[in-house]
Amino acid sequence: MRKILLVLLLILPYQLAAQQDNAPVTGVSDKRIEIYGLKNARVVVDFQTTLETADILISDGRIEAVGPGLTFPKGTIVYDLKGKTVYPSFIDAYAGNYGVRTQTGTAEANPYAALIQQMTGRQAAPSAPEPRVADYWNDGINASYNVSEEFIPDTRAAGEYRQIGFGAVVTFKADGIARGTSALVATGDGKANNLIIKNRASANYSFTRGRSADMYPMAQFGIIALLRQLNYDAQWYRQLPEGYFHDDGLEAYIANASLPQIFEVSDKIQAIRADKIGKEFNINYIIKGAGDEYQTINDIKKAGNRLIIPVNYPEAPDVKDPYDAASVDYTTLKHYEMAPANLAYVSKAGLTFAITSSDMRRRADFLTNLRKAVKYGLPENEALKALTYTPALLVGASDLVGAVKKNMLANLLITSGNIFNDNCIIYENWVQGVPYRLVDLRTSDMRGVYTLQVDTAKYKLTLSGTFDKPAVRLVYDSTEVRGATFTREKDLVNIAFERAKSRFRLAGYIVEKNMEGRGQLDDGRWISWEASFEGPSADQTRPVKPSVIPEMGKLIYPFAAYGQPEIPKQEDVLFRNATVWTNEKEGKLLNADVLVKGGKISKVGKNLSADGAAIIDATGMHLTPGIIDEHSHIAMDGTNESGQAITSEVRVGDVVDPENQSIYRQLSGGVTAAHILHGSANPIGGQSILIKHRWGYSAEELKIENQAGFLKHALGENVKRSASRYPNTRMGVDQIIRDAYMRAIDYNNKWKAWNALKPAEKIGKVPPRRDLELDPIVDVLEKRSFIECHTYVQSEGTMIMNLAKDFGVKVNSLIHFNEGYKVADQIAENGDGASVFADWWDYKYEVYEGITYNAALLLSQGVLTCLHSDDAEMGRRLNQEAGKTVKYGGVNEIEALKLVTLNPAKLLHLDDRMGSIKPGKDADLVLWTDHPLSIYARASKTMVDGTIYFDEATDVKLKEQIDNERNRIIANVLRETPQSATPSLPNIPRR
Amino acid sequence: MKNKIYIILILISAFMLNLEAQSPVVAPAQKKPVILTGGTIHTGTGQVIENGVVAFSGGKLTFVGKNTDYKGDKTSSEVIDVAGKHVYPGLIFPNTSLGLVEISGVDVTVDNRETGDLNPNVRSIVAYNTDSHVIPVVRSNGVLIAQIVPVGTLLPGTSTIVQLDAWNWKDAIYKADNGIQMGWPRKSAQTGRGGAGFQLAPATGESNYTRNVELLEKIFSDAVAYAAVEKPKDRNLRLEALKGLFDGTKTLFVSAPEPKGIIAAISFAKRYGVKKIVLTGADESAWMVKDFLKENNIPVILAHVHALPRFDYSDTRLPFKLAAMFHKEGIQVGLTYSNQAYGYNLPFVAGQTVAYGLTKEEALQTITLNNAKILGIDDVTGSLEAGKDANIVVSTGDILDMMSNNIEYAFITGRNINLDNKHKQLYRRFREKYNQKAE
Repeated sequence: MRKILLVLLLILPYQLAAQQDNAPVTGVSDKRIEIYGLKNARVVVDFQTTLETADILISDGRIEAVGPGLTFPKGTIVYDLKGKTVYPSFIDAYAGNYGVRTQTGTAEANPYAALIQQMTGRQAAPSAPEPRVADYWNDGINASYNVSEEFIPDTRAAGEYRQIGFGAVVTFKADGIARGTSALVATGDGKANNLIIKNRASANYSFTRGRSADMYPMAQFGIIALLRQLNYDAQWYRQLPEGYFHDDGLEAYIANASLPQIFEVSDKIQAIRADKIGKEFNINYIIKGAGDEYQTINDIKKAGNRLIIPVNYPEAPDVKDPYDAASVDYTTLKHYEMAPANLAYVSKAGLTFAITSSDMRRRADFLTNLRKAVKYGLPENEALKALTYTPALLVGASDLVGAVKKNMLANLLITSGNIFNDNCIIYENWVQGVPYRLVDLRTSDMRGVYTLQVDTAKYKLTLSGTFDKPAVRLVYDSTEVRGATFTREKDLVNIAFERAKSRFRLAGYIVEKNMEGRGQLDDGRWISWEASFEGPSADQTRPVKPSVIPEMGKLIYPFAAYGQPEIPKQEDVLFRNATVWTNEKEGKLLNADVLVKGGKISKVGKNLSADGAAIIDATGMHLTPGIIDEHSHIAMDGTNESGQAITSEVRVGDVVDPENQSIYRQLSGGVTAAHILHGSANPIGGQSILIKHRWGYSAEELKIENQAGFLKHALGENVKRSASRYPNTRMGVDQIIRDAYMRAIDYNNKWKAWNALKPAEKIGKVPPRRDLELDPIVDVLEKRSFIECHTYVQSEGTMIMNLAKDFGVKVNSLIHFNEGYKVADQIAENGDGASVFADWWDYKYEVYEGITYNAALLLSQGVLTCLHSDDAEMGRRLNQEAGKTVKYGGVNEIEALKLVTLNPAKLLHLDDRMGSIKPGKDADLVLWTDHPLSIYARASKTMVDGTIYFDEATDVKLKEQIDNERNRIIANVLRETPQSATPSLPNIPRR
Repeated sequence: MKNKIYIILILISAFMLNLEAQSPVVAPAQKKPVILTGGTIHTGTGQVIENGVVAFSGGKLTFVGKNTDYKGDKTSSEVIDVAGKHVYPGLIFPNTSLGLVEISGVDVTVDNRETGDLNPNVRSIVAYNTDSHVIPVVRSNGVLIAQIVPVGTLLPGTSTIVQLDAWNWKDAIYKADNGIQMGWPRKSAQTGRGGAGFQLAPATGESNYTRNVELLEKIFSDAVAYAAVEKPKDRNLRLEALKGLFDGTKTLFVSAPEPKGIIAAISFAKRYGVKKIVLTGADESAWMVKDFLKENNIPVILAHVHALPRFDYSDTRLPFKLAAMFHKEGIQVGLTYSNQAYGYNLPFVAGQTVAYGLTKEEALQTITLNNAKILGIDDVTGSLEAGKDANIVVSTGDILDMMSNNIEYAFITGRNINLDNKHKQLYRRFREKYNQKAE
């Protein structure tokens, strides 16, 4: 019953007031008084001003006046709010899908039908493409959508919002990449006309494809490429002459450009990506974050976006069973512990941020989590600012909402005190001047200590705990009377207990602080009772503990296992007395020294002076250049954009993941740099990126400076696998690549012709459209970028070499090329390169003739050859793979080592600074415990740019720290969350 | 003469029909005693004998020891000087689908996974293709014996141990139907990192687990009952196949991906009276329950030495260290290689453990004597000891290191094996191409 009442209270305001309407009156009109006066309240005007005692006059849904000693006009409904506090209601700048009825997200449609088909080649649930209107060519772009078209107030959700303090929220349809525009709406009940405070409050974007009917884009780098193309298309569209081409999507996108641009991301790395794409087009995105911004707070600060941040802390991981606990990641535990401190970090970084209630599993937990953020160091005024002023500012509505000021909407909260205290009660949430009652203001707080006189006996009654459901403690003659109950309904109270085998049923009423009434005993006898207030209960008088920020582990860089609180620093180092594999004409030097200064190799020789550098005794050890993995897919989010056959527009550099554990693991195998490529699902897959394994730094900082461009091509089984997509044969592969190259040439010519025109000549003409798919191919044709081509069998390898020749370019690297040995002479003749496996074969038909002697044969014909991993596991054993060429084909050990050092440096156009131990080159070095090509060698230290990022001894220490930290956090989890006992194992062994 | 015709046939095949290279001719039975003299003998029992003699006759080892101790007759034997070279027991490759899978990516050549969950009765041996081109490639690095296993879900089938030089599966048999494979179900759902906001339906690990364990419980209790009947009225191939587990004639090879799954699976097997149990595919999950394995005397086969650690917090090089860690706990460790086509790397995964705690001779044992013990064939092979089968490998250098592994001779039960293979043939073929060009 109580619950139903509560629900009714949530739903029904006293009356629906202050509503404008243009519809005719039906029946007898019932317009009520809509002037309210709030007296004697403590008024928090905004996040920086508080009036200790003030009055508020509200008329017609707006605030007429705020200040001490106001005179209310006659006919004002007056509330006396002595002892109460008034706040501006909260604003959620990112409510999302509130009042939006149509399907959103991936729930209803079968969004991955296309994906399944792509992966399996089988037809998934048929998805007939809808006939296109004159909208943008890609269904993930819904710029022309506006949420007011379908906004219908949702009374249930509105009630929930009001209960956690919100008076206005921004609703939008969370579907697709460009999601159209949102609206700021009041959380009241009534007609949509009255509730929409500001239509087109923001334009919204995300990295998710939603219910798009298109296959493309499937991966994040495809989405980024699409956003980039969208912006170029918009630029082009602006220049088009009248009547040439119409596109609703582009019109809307252009029109929306003046609105606040909000971009939703699902983690802090994506936040940086969104910022980057924004800055490319002078868009300052407001980033809707994921609550993990603290993990890369320095980068977030540097990016400087305004933020919208949820308080959706992760649930406690299940650690009650020690074996199950083993599968909980280190970062999961760390994040569980640190997430409540996120807002404190963001606030301390001085960033502008709003707090949103979105992403919560239970919306009702919002205030609890918000208060937790305050306990973890978020200043209260910052919290209030982030819930009122900032969100209003972000959506350009700060003249309407976010403060209790004259002329603003009467969106305010009446509370029992400081809203950031755990026991604060929100009595009423006023929305557009309509009071919505959450807890009856007239309900007095009955917590306290009473002398209860029942008939002739005297008891001590204590009501403590929560305001609405106080805990009862009844004592008679210093003995507790167990099972006593206290219930109330507004002014009426009931007390029941049993003592001396007699049941007491007392009914009565509240008289100011005291209570009195009559009761009945088992025998039917009526008695009188009276409870007189003696003072507050102990828990009310207990002084509020000065808030101490809970203890937490340290922030680590990167936020991954084996990250460290301090990123290792560059040092000047002298490697003393090593066997030095120079990869230069000196070859292998015995008992030699290498001096590293300022991140570069300074000197190579014997008995070098340390010159202030730290000395590392390398006696009995081997020093080699850092291993460079010519072909890798580590540290990237997503591998393929398989939504189209030609996706040259996709850039791996857009989705580098600097927290990928593989980076550290590669370092443990002496790998200092890697070429990160798009996968091999497409004939032309995308642009790759060269990184150094600077573990701890951001995605941008991992990228090698001044690198050449590389464009991934792929042939054979992988690209012809998808039954529904052209090509299905090697013949088709040839044609689709040839076609792309021809289109690129024509496109380039069009641009050249256009650029040759004088400005006056351009007037009235249609400019060429910037095509991001063709630009990278133009780069290849103009030798700013180079072909990396995945290939296995000799026919297709010869095909791509011929194709390249036809277009006047080389194949920089024939990747994998297991049958390269069959045409090694041709490769050498063309001056193309090859990047192969040492011994992979037999996993599919096209590698059945792959042989372990491939590298040796290629080398024998003078092909610039290297070995690559294509695999995060084998990547950290590339030295061993090089060792295999000594066995298979008798490659000499110096040339063998070059296969994973100098040769990849050459293929990647990095040999001017990497690949050998030579003064002036980057100090990317590995110190090995044994012959570097031997199975017995371990990388003891791995240095990148003079910084030792992997050290065997440090690795052991880090592992210890990780274990301790895990144990500490798990113990805390167990303490904080009561976990049920370990279930017994399914079977108990009989011994 | 016969040989010549054969060579001509090869040439015709290679050049006219452009077929794939051929598997080498199978070696005939040992006719004459053989003596390998002067080599460094790694017996597989931990012993190293410098300047030793390995003598074998009729397929059996007759002497293994110091040259100076050899008193046998040398005149009637074929004497092979292996001075400066290393002599090892033939390597043993357990738990592999070698000969069942020709090209893993081409469905029709994949013959190791029968449909259905409960197939203990399907026998790997009948599908074992002695003419697979993969076998000679793997053999060339010293692998002479393999346990051929079907794979799949709960009970994928019965394994057989073969020697790797045979005309037909019948003469490949080294020990028939030695084991039953069991894959204990996984409880936790696998998760992955998403792309463009796709949310693939989460796997229902929990419910599948219970259902699958029930299936195993049922078939094992039925099999126990079935085994007690001397002449069943209704004969059942599945139950028949499990019989050997209860009298110790078959070993149960359990794979279980999770620590609790390992305890559950082994407890399960013991509860039904399975006599011999081996844990295959062991990794760091197995390490978490090492005490349980030790108490129950369960040997482990590590399939993933060359693997990444399972968890982000795991020791960076844990997979390299596990063999030594188990060994130090007194748990019997054998190694295998997860992909049959890469079986040629078996000696190198053993070598890998040397930098992480094992001695070279201990490492050698993980792919020779330990595997023989785990497979129940240590009475006849796994070490160089007089009386055992003459399964011998001679390498010009350290067999465990790829830089020096170079197999010059291999003998299976005394038969001198042809070490040619498809890779070498293609290597020769294309060297010839470039030689022709150079001329």
